[in-house]
Amino acid sequence: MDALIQSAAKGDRNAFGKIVSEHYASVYRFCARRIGPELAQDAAQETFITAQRSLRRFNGRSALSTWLLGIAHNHCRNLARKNRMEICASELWIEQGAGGDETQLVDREALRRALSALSPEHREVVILHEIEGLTYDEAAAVLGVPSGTVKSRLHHAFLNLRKSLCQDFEPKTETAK
Amino acid sequence: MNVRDDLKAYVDGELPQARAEQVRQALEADPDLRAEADFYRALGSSIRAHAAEVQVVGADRAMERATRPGLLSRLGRRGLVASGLTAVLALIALGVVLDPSRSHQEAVSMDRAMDKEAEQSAVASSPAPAYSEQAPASSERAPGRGGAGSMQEERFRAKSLDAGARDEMEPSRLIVPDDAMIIRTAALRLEAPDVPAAHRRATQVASSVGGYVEASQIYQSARAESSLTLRVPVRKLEEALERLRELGRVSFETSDSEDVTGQHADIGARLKALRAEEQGYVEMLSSSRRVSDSLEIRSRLGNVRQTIESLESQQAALKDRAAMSKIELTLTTPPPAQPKPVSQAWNEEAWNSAVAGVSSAGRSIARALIFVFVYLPIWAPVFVGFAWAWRRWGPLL
Repeated sequence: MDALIQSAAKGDRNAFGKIVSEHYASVYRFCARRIGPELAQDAAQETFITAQRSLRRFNGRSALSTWLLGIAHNHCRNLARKNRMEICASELWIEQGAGGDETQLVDREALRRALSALSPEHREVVILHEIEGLTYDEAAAVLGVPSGTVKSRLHHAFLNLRKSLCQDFEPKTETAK
Repeated sequence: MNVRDDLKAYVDGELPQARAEQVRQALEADPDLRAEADFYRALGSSIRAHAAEVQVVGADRAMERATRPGLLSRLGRRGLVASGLTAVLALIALGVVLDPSRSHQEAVSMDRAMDKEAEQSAVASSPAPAYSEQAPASSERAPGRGGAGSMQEERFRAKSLDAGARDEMEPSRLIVPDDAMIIRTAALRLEAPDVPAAHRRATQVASSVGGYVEASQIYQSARAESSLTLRVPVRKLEEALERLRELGRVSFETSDSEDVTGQHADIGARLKALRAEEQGYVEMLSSSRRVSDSLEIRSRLGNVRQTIESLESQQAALKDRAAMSKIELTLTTPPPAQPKPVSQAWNEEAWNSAVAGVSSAGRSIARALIFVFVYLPIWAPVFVGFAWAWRRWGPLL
């Protein structure tokens, strides 16, 4: 295990400070895409407090970043439940308004609508894989589910997106051909 | 397995090499499948392109929170010791405040202070207080008796005592001012080998100190028993008791005293007032000219005189009771000597000892469990609080 993590686990606050500075941005973005920027700060804070308390139990089987996102995932879920809000709502992580880059396959508003039609579990894996760039195994570690579940959810999420975007898809694929 | 199910994983490069090869071959053979794979790639790219930019805030706060020294570090070793001592002192103070025996002690000390005050006021009412007897330091109030004038001391003996040990069980002598009106009573139980002879000698003792036998009874059965009620002058009470103790072995002794000074003074004051009233009626009667007035005054005068007589007899009875102390004396023959227990075999002794030990240990454990259970409402929340606090902040400390 990383010497920095070991030092932080033993109570070295400077070492833990380095971990915070290294991972805060990714944890905050992760939280903001799930529960919005207002609550993301609290969720990120809580994530690092929990991490500091539990770092001795970190066994290094996954990357530290994945472990931190797993903690953040739990805090976000709790905060969303507490505030009676939908987790991973598409307006939280897709730019608002119509239009956008013409080189892209689909219009932004159409994409937002298609994503809104997905279940929260499907949106979750889409964010983790497509936006956060996590592999299937890492996403599975964050969500606490088997890797096959992530693969299955992602497959179904894209099938549903394809169905929703079918109207836009046909002419543009023809154009692409 | 259907190739379409693995198409997204293939696009993401998440398939094992063998399966990826199968999917690749399928893609080459099927243009629709290829178009679908292209769509997945393009859709992923669109999602990433349309993802909102997130402005990161709060990093400083998180950093400050993470690097802030813990409570133990902030306190330091001296601070920790001081905090521990403070906590211990606070617990002790809490224990003293919650100590149930404390309130009892306070009540007892308050009673004693009241007794002392009453004694001092009694002494102050006397112009030249002279104490008839000295009070030993061991003198104590018997619990459950109220009133400043009620004092009692009892000592019990299950077994007969040697004459040499009698001094230890002699009732404590009471501080009594000379002009105080105290009714003193004593009870004595003696074991005498010859009960009738001791009965006669007790009668002689009462006569010799200027007293008399108020009542006496003697039973003759397997064990002779006699009871006497003696009246002796209060000044001779101690002497009489001393001489009665010599008649046998003391198995029980108690003495009691009741201060009726206030009661006596109260009767005296009422008598004074009633006599003045009587004098007034007599004067009114002599100056009365109408028959009806005379009859009314005579009737009232009769009532007043009746009350005066009643109070005078009460006052006289109090004086008599205070002048002559009562001794309840019981004489019995000593119980027959118990045969010595036959010594048990060593194994029986060991067995009994072991059984007694197990029983005692069981009782101790049960007692401890009862205490733990009864104090549950106090220690359980504290324990749960500590456990929760340690779970929450332990690593941060």
